[in-house]
Amino acid sequence: MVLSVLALLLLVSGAWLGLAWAPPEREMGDVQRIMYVHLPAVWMGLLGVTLNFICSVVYLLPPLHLGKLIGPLRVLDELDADALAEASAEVGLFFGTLGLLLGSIWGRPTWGVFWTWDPRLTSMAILLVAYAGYLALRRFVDDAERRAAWSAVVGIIIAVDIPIIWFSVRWWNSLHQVQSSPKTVDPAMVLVLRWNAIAFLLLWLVFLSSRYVIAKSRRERELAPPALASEGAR
Amino acid sequence: MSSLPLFATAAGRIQGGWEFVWAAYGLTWAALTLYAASLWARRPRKEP
Amino acid sequence: MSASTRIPGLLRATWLLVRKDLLLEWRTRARANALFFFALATLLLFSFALGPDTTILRRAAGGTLWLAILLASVLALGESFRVEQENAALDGLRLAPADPQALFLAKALANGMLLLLLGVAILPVLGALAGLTLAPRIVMTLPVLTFPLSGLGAMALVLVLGCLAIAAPGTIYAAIASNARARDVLLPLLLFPLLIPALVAAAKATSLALEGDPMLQFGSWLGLLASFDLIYWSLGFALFPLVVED
Repeated sequence: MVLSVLALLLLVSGAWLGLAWAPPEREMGDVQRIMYVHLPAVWMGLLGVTLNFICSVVYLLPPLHLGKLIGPLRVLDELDADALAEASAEVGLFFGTLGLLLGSIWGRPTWGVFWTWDPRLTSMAILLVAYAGYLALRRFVDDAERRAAWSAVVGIIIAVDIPIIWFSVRWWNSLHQVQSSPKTVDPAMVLVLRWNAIAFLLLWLVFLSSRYVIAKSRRERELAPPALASEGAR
Repeated sequence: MSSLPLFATAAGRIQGGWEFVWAAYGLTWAALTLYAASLWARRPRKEP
Repeated sequence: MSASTRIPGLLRATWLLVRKDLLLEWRTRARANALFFFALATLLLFSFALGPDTTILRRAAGGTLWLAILLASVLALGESFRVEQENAALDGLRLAPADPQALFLAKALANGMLLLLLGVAILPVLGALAGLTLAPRIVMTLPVLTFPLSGLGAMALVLVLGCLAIAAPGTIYAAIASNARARDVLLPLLLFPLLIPALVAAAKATSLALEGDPMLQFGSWLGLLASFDLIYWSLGFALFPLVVED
């Protein structure tokens, strides 16, 4: 796919930009360069989570028939909300985990430790465990319809918890000094960050669409009439 | 490199730390490759 | 059902179902007893794991109490749907005129009450093990008014709100997990990350009720817990029908 090639090109050039072209940060030195992959990874994780929530809600609502409102939106009607929910959860979990690990690597030279109970790190960690549970649920339910309905319910429950987790962890840790967060003010750095962010976004789209296809074809096999199913499954 | 003041202060800078940068980028590339491979391996086979 | 009979009908159905569950609990007291001893064993484990130094146990008492209740809740919640599961009674309930929402309220209330009983039962034990005392006075700061509570009153409030916090999402997840594979690991896996804010709030509030609250934080933590309860009881009420319908 053209998109994959483009994503790859952007990623490679983004890496070069991040590693060689961008200036060292005023306080953090070269370690700052980790931000160029850490932040986009985290953002893509959160994007996946958001999309999962939307799909969960959409699945539980009666069909929206967006195509009737605006013609071109018909393509949205044809999306399988449950398959998209599964895809976005897995891709989101992948990027989120990567982002968390990168944040940890960044933390070691900056704060001296691999982990702190910083609200953002902590909330992210909780979120990742929650979505791992979501994916486990999907794996352990065999009936396609039930899996879809129950996943949607769980997806909504988890998403609603996100702000609650955020606030409670912030309060919980408010006794401790809040760690300094990186400030990217240098325009050169902002450019590199944006470049990498777009590269990650394209990659996210590539992963998402391919995972969606996997999920959708599985669902079609499961929901197909028995004659076709036995033919296809072999 | 030389003795690293690992906590940044307004006056100072973190010197070096390139091993962490390489670790980060290496991890990123390895992870992306592995995940892409897993997606490729799981792609649905078309029945003739 | 017309609107005028909807709410009384719901409440009545809920009441009948709660009564049924509580009667079942009472008749098979062995289960509640076993849960109590499980929670006790958990407290002992924590005491041994954290060391004989009672200062540490005292400071960790809030967290220890709620961890013990949480671990026991996994067993309690799992059981609460297994009874239906084994006798395919869930189908019977679904066919009965009972509203799935009444079913949710009833199950969640019954579970909540069981957990509350458990909490009340193990608190004195923890008190003895760790040498705990209740704070003499806790000032409750709500947005509109401020009033004093006794340490006991504060403790009671935390127990009630905390157990309700476990009961609502626990009931939904138990209903889902009881029909899935690997149900014994799936329930805690889903429930624990979700309950972290409630655990944090309950544990903190408990510590304050035990040791005193010089910085007047009790109200905030309780507020967090109460909001959690409100959100998840509403969400559970709305979503439970989707879980049990076919």
